[in-house]
Amino acid sequence: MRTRGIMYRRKGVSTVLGTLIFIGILFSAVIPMMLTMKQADIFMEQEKLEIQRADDERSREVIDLYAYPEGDDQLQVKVESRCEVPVTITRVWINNDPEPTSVNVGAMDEKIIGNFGVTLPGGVESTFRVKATTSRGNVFENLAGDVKYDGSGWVTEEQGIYVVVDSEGGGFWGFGSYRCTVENDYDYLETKTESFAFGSVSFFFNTTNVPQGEREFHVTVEKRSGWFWGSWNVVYEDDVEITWPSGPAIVWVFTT
Amino acid sequence: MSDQRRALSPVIATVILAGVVLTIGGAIWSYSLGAASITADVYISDTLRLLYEMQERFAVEHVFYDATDDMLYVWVYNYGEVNVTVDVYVNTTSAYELSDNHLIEAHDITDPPVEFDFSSNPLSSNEQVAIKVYSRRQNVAYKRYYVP
Repeated sequence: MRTRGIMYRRKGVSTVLGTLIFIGILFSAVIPMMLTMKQADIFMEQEKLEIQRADDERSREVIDLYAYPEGDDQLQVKVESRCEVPVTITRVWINNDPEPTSVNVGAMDEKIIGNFGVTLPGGVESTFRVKATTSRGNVFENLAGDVKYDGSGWVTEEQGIYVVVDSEGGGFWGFGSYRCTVENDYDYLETKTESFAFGSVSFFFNTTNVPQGEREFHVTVEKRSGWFWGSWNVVYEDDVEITWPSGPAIVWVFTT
Repeated sequence: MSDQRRALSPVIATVILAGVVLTIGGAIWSYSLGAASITADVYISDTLRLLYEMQERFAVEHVFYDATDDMLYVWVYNYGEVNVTVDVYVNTTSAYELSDNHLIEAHDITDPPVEFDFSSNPLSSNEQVAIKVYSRRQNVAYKRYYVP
């Protein structure tokens, strides 16, 4: 009878040990595993956000690129940032030759890169297609088109002033009209009008035939809100100079 | 004598029982620990593999066909944060070429470029060339090029 008594009193030992082992397994194996997995999930989410941010910045990256001759056998590249993210130019392509570089251009800032030497065979026409690659993988082409050498000197297909007006509409159902005038102190005077503009309006003034030395222009943008009534109000007025071949052949003017 | 040894069997039985429980428990604990750490390792490596796949960013930056020696050159730019191994396929109207196993480090470009020899089947002017770049992580970049 005493033996049976002892057996009954010790009946719970295995249960207690089993419970302890279960808790031991839970704390020493399962919980660290779950914590590790959770940490990996958090890391993954952080990296996904970083990737999304990088892709977003890449899509917002906008620069204007102008390539132009500098001296007899060199090219320069002007980079104008048109975005709110800093841009790093990692490579400049001149035709099929990559020129490694590392130039940081701040938001809405501009930089001149170069000089890049080019080979000009005497008496032979040469064309140079210039583009630049950014660290985010965007490639921007020369807005002024190819840089050309006609065998004796640098030539450009077109010179001009490109005026872009970010229209906010006028006072009559959102319609407005814009009038843009470009003139110099000599005999160049041209006016272009865009009626009932809504959204972005652009004007191109071709100044290819304006002789060198007369390429300082006065640009005026006027706006008339409403249908046919109302007066013209000046919204932009500034001097612009085309310095080709030591500067871009096309000058861009942005206004609102 | 018999009375003095009466309590010995329950003690031995308890010790044996406890030993069995501890042995089986230890084995289960050991197996669980191993299984949990393997599961965690697999999970982490799967997560990292997926992450690298997501982080891969590359593009065909430049293509050039040299008509003098009938060679097509393709520059692939890896602008992502991880190294990429790519296979480059070039598809023309009459040929299908492959150049494989090009390792491009992060923020680097294929240098020298990926080369394709078309001397046996030269490309004609204005011919369209489709360039497909497949990474070993199954990401793809495309570029269409017209022979000048």
